[in-house]
This record gives sequence, C-alpha cells and structure tokens, in this order.
Amino acid sequence: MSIYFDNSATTLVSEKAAAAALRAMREDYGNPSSLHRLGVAAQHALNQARAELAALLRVNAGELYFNSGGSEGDNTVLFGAAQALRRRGQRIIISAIEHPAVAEAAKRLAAQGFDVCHAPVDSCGVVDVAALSALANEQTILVSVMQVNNEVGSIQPLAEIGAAVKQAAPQALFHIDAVQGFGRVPVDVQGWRADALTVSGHKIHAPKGVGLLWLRKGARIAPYLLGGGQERGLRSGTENVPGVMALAAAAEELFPRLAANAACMAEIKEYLATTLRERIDGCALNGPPPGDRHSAPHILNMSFAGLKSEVLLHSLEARGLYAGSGSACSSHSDKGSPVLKAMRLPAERIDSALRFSFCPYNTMDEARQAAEIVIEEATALRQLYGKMRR
Amino acid sequence: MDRQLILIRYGELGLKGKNRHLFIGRLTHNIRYALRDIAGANVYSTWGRIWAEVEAADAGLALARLQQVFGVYSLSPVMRTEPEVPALAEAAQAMLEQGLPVGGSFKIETRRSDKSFPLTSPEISRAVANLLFERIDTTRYDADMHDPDLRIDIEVRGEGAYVYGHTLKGAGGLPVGCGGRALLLLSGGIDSPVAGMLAMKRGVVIEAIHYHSFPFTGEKAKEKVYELCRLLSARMGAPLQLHMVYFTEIQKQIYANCREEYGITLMRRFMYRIAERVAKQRDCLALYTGESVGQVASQTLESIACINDVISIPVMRPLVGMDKEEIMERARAFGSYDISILPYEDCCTVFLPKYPKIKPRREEAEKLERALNIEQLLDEALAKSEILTIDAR
Repeated sequence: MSIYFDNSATTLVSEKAAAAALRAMREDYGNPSSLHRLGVAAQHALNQARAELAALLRVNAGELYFNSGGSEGDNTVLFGAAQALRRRGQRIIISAIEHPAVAEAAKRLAAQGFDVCHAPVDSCGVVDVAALSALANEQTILVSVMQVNNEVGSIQPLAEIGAAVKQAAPQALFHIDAVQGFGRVPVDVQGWRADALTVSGHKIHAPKGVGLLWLRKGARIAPYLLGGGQERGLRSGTENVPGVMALAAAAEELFPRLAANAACMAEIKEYLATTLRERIDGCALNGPPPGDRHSAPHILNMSFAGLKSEVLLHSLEARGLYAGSGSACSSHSDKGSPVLKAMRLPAERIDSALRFSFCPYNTMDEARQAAEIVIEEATALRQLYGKMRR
Repeated sequence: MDRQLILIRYGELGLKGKNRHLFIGRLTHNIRYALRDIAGANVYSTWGRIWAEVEAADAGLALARLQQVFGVYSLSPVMRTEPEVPALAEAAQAMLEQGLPVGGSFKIETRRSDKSFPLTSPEISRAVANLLFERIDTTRYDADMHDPDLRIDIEVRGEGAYVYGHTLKGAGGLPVGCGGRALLLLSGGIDSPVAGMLAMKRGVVIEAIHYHSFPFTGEKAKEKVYELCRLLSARMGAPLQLHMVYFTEIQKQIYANCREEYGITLMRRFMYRIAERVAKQRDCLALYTGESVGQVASQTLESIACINDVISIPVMRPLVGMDKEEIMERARAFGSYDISILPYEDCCTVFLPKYPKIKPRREEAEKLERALNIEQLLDEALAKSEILTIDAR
C-alpha cells in the first residue's frame, strides 16, 4: 500500500497523457521543422495541441510557446523582460514567497544592477496588495507573482494585484507563475490583467520536461534560447512533441472537471487539517485555513511542534505515506524555508513543517488512512524526543 | 594512430631501499587501474621509471587521471624521435614552446646510453642547442645552465631518442596499497572524506563505515555517502568496501535512557566500539576520523579522551591540527565539498542537544551506560549492518 501526497513535487502521468506521448514517439515522430510529410504531420499535431490549450486558457493560440517547464518559463520571462525593457526602467517587483526559479533569477538581475523589490506577505502567505502597490512606480518594468504558493498553498489575490500594477506601473509586464495553479484552480489571465503566464507539465499529470509560456500579444521580451527560431523565434530548439501532446491531453482531462476535482481535494485537505490538529498536540496549520478564499484545495502545510520535518517524513515513508518537506533542517540553520520565514513563523514551526499535496486521484479513504499514520508516527516520535528533554 | 608516451616520476619511493620494487609494482598497478577504461592504454616500468602510452587523442584525459594517483610525483609528455641531431632539435623546440609559451630560460640535459652514438652527451646538448638557437626567437628565449625555467631532457637509446620538458605536478604521497588497511569513519560531512584522502595519500587502503538511522536519516543521506565513496574509490584506485551500520536502535536507547547533554558523547562511544569490531573483523590496523581538536563539542580534548577510552585500536586523526578553512579548502580540491554540503539530516545532527557536554567525564559516561545493554546493542547493530562494494565508475 502506498499513499502519494506529494503531488506538488510531481505527479503520476495519466494514462491518456502517456498514450499521447507514446504515439508521438513511436508513430508521429517527425520533426515539425522538416519539409516532408512526417514533419508536416508533427507540425499539425503541435498546432492542434496549441489550439486546445489556448481554448482552455481563453487566449489566442499564437500567444502560446512550448518550452521545458516551469523554471525555463520563469527564467525566460524574468531575463527576457529585463533585457527588452531595461531602457524604460530598472525596478522589478516579485513577492517574498516566489519559487526559486523566479527568486534566483531576480537575484541575478539585482546583481546586474536592477532594482529588485520583494513584496511582503501576511502570516498566511498571502501577498500584501497595498505594500506591493506602494512599491510599483513608473520605473517598474516587471512584476512577477505566483498564482498558488507551492509550499503553503496560498492563492494570491491576482486580480487586485493586477489592477494595482496596471494603475501604478502601466508599463510593467505582469507575470504569473501558475505552475501550482494551472489545472487545479481556475486561471483567468484577462481578469488578472496578466501579460505572461508560466505552466509546467509534470505538476498536472504530464511528463517532466515540458511546459508552456503564455505571452500576451504585443508584450516584449527578448528570447532566452537562440537557435533555429522555433516557437516563432522566442524559444529555439526542436519542439518536445511527445511532451506537448501529453501536456495537452492532461489539460484536456483536468479542465472540464476543475470544480469537481477541487471539491474532492478540498475535502481531503479539510479532513486532514481538522483531524491532525484535533489529535496531535502542538500541530499547527501553515497557510490560509481550509475554506478561506485564499486556500488552494490541493496543498496543506502543517507543523508538528518538537519534531523535525525530515525525520517525520522518513517515518511516514516507512509506512507508505509520501509527503514533502519544504526545505532543509535546522542543523543547516540558514537554510530553512524562505517561504515560511517570509510568513514570519517561529523557527520551530519552520523546522517541523511538512507538506501534503493532493491530486484528483487521491481519495477520502486514503486521507483517513494517512491521518492515522501521521498520528501514530508523530506520537511515537514525540515520545522519544520527549524522553530526551528530561 | 598517433601514440603519446608519458613519463611518470615517483619521488619518495626512491628512498625505500629493498622494498622499492614492491612500491613500484603497487604504483604500476594503481596507474593501470586509473587508465583501465582508456582503450589501448599501456603501462610498463623500465629503466627505473614508469611509462604510460595512450592514443594521442586520450592524452589529456590520461594526464589528468595520472595526476590524481598517489605516489606519482610528476609527469611529462614525451616525444619519441630518430636519434639524430636535427630531429632532436625539432622535438626540443616543440617542448620549449609548449613549456614556456611566453619565453624564458632553458637548459638542455642529455643522457646517452647508446655509446655507439657518434657524439658524447655534452656534445649532443651543444649541437641541439646550436640548431635550436637558429630556429627560435632569441629575444624571448635564453639559455641558463644554473637556474633554468625549463629543463629539456634528451635521452639517446639504441632503439630511438626521447625528448621531454613540460612537467605536470602529481599528487605526491605513496601508492595506495603499500601502507596497510584502515577503517574510515565516514559521516556525510566535510571533514571525514578529507581524512580518508589523507590516509590514502600515505599509502593506506581504506574501508569506510557509516552509521545510518532511518527514519532519523533518509535515503538521500545514504546516496550522499555512496557518492563520497565513489570519489574515494577513484582516488584509491580500487573498489571501496562500505559498511553501512544500522544505528537507529542505539540512538533511541541512548536518548530514552540517558541525559540529553551526554547524548553525543555516548553516541560516539558506540560508534567507536562498532568501528573497532568491524576493523578487527576486516583486518584493519587503525581507525581514521575527521576530528580536529576543538572544532565541536565532541572534539574537545576532554571529549576525544572520553570517547577514545572505549577502544584500544589506534585512531588516526589527520586533520587534528587544521582549521575549518583549511579542511574546506582541501575538500574543494578533492571534489568532496559540494557533495558534503548537501543538506540532509545525519546521525550527528538529528539529536543534537541544545547544550552538549563540552567536557564530558569518563566516570559519568560509564555510569549512564550502565542503563544500557551495551553488548546486545552492538551485536544487534552489527547483525543488521551490510557491506557494500562501491566502485568509482
């Protein structure tokens, strides 16, 4: 028996996605740039996938660019926008809880002289809109905020942020890292007034190594990979046709059931959050409470006072329950989760935080079993650690 | 196919008297191992030196590998020519331009074992130098008999002549395998791999012992240790035996029964006891650790004395007088640093007490241990341990 509650790390590839990828590898294996029939067939398949994904996102197919995944999408937008827009201004705003693919890229831009600002978050990991608008000014060329935080599952108020950004910094490109949101909660690039959106395949049951970048027509960024000019010159390199086919198939499966899936996952989250807090002393929720409008249905982060996350993670693993730990441990002190630090949680909460993340394949039955396992293991470890505090 | 000849020099080995041939045999063996996956590599020893011959296209790789072999003092790529002055001068010029690309002073030294050659050794040197000076830019190059920047050696032998000049530094030390066998206490940290390297540098064959305690440490921590072992194995020139000891129960017992501040002291006393048992089973003559006096609470002299007290086998601590900075520098040079800093829990960090005892007392440690069934715990830990053979490539 095993229960996989680490879906924010990566997901099981769905049967349809795997079949689509296999077909593209074994049958329609042409290079979309080739002039012969096989190449043209691959080109058509690629365009078909692009059109399907565009329809799901309610954007134009010509605004979608396939790439290798979330990190590439984030890097492309940050470096590409900084280079294309540097004459207009130097300020770049990101939230304090961005994924390293954004945060590390921003750090390099800061080292190159850009004025990088971090918008703070509240204790639930939700961006402070007022603080972010105060940072936005005429010199701002880029604002990058994630849709759903990968560690605590906080949904960001993107419509409010978008409105504020467009008012205070009309020139700025507004980028959304939707790696943890796409396919799990509704995406609304028009309502958010976004200009760019990054998506990853392997978080939504497609394979690793494929992603999608939406870039609003007219938004300017410099290409990050140069070469044969594929993807209309924005992303050179022979297209990952099998990956793209799988990504389209996976998205096609998820989008019609978005609300129903979210309700199932929210039930699991709520059950675990309630049960664990009732039955384990010193168990605390990190992030917005279930039911809150900022709470994503598929990510639950909890701390277990007095325990170390990695140790609890291995104990659960031994029982067949797979969870995630945000980051490393206190013995390597400066390395605790930057997200939980930005939420100003005390060190002990950070050291003992564990993430459970769900997908539509998970069931309430699994949730009940998982709760019992966590309770038993946390209690056993607590007893051991309790003894040594004498 | 062009072949490249490489001359391998050994330093300290020359001093070893009657055992010399054993050392050279071991070094030749280790060199063969280092080049074993380079097709067509040929290693042989003759005229009191070791030579390696590889395809010219593999020369860069072979030189880099050879520089890592302990016991190698220095290396020179060698050109083989006809035993005639014009050919020698041409080779000498190539050596000069390779060894001193921006210019400098040089000296030509000749040895002639083929006494039928019409010129004597000094005459060969002069003739080659005269021809050389006609060909090179004399504003950049100059001869210096006493303190040259580059010495170009010519050897004239019956079957041909050899010219070499450009010298690369080797790893030094003694060939692994001529210094006995020892057991290295290998954590996932920065220090112990460096201690292992220094053991091998003095010719010692090592086996490694690691204590894991799932769920307190995980699979990633083990992978990290395997990776360090691959690195050690590559430098040792042989597969490395790794003893993975199941330590969970001992840790649980210590912390369930003993005072927290003595936790690390007692844990290390157990580690030492287990290591001694394994060492004896495996014919290891000593333990090696990465301890450096005063670095952490368990490495004060008081701690070391209290911990060392439980065993009688010698414990080598090659880092004993080094600062953390020096150790880190060596770890970087060795290539273990980036592996060591991967942030996973290990046995020593997971139960770290808030206030560990800096000056533990032996009597106190013994008193606390009376609550534990030491022999039974040791037997159980060893019974649940496994030996893995880790190979570099």
